[in-house]
Amino acid sequence: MLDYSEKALDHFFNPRNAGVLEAANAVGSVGSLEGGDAVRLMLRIDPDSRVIAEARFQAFGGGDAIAACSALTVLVTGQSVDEARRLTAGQIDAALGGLPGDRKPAADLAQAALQAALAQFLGITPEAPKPDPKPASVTLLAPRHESKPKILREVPLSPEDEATIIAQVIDSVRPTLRADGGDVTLVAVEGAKVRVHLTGNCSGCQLAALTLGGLQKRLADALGRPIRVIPEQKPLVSIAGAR
Amino acid sequence: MQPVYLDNNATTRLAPDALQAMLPFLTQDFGNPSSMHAMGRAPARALIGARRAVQALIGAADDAEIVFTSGGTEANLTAIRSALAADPSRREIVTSAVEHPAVLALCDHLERAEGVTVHRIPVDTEGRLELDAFRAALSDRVALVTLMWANNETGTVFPVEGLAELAHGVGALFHTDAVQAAGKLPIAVKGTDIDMLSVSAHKLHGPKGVGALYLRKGVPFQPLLRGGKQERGRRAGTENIAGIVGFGRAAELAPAVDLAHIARLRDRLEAGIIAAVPKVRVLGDLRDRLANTSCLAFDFAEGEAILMRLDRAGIAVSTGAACSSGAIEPSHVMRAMKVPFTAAHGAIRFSLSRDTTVPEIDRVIEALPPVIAQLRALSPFGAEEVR
Repeated sequence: MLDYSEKALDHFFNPRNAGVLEAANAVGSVGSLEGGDAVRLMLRIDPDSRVIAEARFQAFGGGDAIAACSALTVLVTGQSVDEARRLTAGQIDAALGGLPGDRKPAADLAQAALQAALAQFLGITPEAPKPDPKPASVTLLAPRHESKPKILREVPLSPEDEATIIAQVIDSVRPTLRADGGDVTLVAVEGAKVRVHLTGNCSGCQLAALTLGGLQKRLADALGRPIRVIPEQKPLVSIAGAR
Repeated sequence: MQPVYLDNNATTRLAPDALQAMLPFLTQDFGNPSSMHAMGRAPARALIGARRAVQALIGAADDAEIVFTSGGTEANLTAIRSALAADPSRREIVTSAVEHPAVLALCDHLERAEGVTVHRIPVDTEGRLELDAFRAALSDRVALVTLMWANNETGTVFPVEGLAELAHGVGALFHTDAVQAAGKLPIAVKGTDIDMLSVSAHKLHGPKGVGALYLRKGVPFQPLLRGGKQERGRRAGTENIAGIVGFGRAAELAPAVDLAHIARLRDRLEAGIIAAVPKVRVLGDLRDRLANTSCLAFDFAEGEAILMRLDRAGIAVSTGAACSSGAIEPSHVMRAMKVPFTAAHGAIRFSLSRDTTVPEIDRVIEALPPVIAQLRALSPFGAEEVR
């Protein structure tokens, strides 16, 4: 039995502000069809007052994702950009009367969409998409993970083969990320750990977590063993232009 | 309005007849069948009757081949553990990628903690076992082949009698999880190569908490539960008499079920939905699946959201997905069948029973299309594709 609160159920069955906002000047998209959760948040922000005049959403996902987006649009409408930037997943969760424990990530998803939309409005796109994608370079720091993998491949891959597959998988997701003004590059492979560097709209922790989750799953599927994708800690490019 | 219950692969309504048969053993006939005094007589006789009914349900040669358990999970676990103990030189298990967690989780554990090699045979996009991979996995190192008779999510039927012959070809034991198959297709284990078979009462209108393991005469066996001499020393613990009696009565009622009628209702449901909803796929092996099961995958709609809206409309179904660590993931069966990612999150299982009626099916055909249309309209994907 799904144990959603009355508030969450109300937002799911009667979603507020659902649909396309033609006049949007800030759009944030997170998640994927493949991952089972995808959200597009559209905001119309008054350029002079920097107040969110209108918010609408589209969502593919369970009751949790749809309810979280609905609640989010209600929360941010009338907020200033600065107020909205401080909105936490916890506040979205609270507006839903508290999602069930294992469904809290839906609030993170909605908050990530908000942050992405606001980042677009504020022009936080530090790195322009590179014109010619080359396969990400690979450094092998450690031999293949020794402990018994959960998913067994018939023939174990050599570290070199694995590195090639990892680079291919990462390249395959780059066009999607670039479309959203971001990028991902491979830093290193260490056993079950794949270190990557996220830039642009992909960086910033909430978004990064979602992007990395999808990448992690693709890599694990491609390699047939569990993989942990770890983002390299590089700070978001400062908006104030500090050097 | 009465809810439309189309989740009979999860559990079924207890047959009123089964309840009536059970009640005396929860009231005046409370005795222990092992007691030597008169109070033990009625439960002991009832136990014999129920055992014969379950024997008949699966077409076993002898009622002594039936061991009552606490359900399908215990029967599966007993069979697998027993087979591994029978020949310590054989340390491999062959199973499939689409088994019930009752089998797969135990296999994972055996592999991780006890060094058993597990071959999980893949299935094709219709859920049929990859026979070449199955043959390749068989060897004289295999202690047990365990394969489900029918899949709980798609209803796809495995040709277990033939698979059992192949298993015996390499000297392995053969077990089948027939929890979904019993009562939904004809089963006659006598004369087959099936060594062990699991059944559960609550999937065929019996009570929860009771099941049985069929153990062919002569098959080596080690009990899971040791203790008293109940079930000929094969399953210790005072018998769940009321549950066993309810199981027996439910087993007696099973042959009268008109499976062809249930299949017609299922086909009416599928035809009605397919006619009204674009971009829907029927999952499973359409040539050989359970009469009561329909697994439909809707592109660009998410299963839990569909389920919740149908639930609000008084229709109970289940999704081909499970929530794992915050994300709703397609089930292992959907993944094994390589359901395209546009639909993998939108799988809904409708499972009918003998209680299902035409008006109920028509209510679903009416209620479902707007639900899918609303969710697709909410979604950022596929606006063109589904029109």
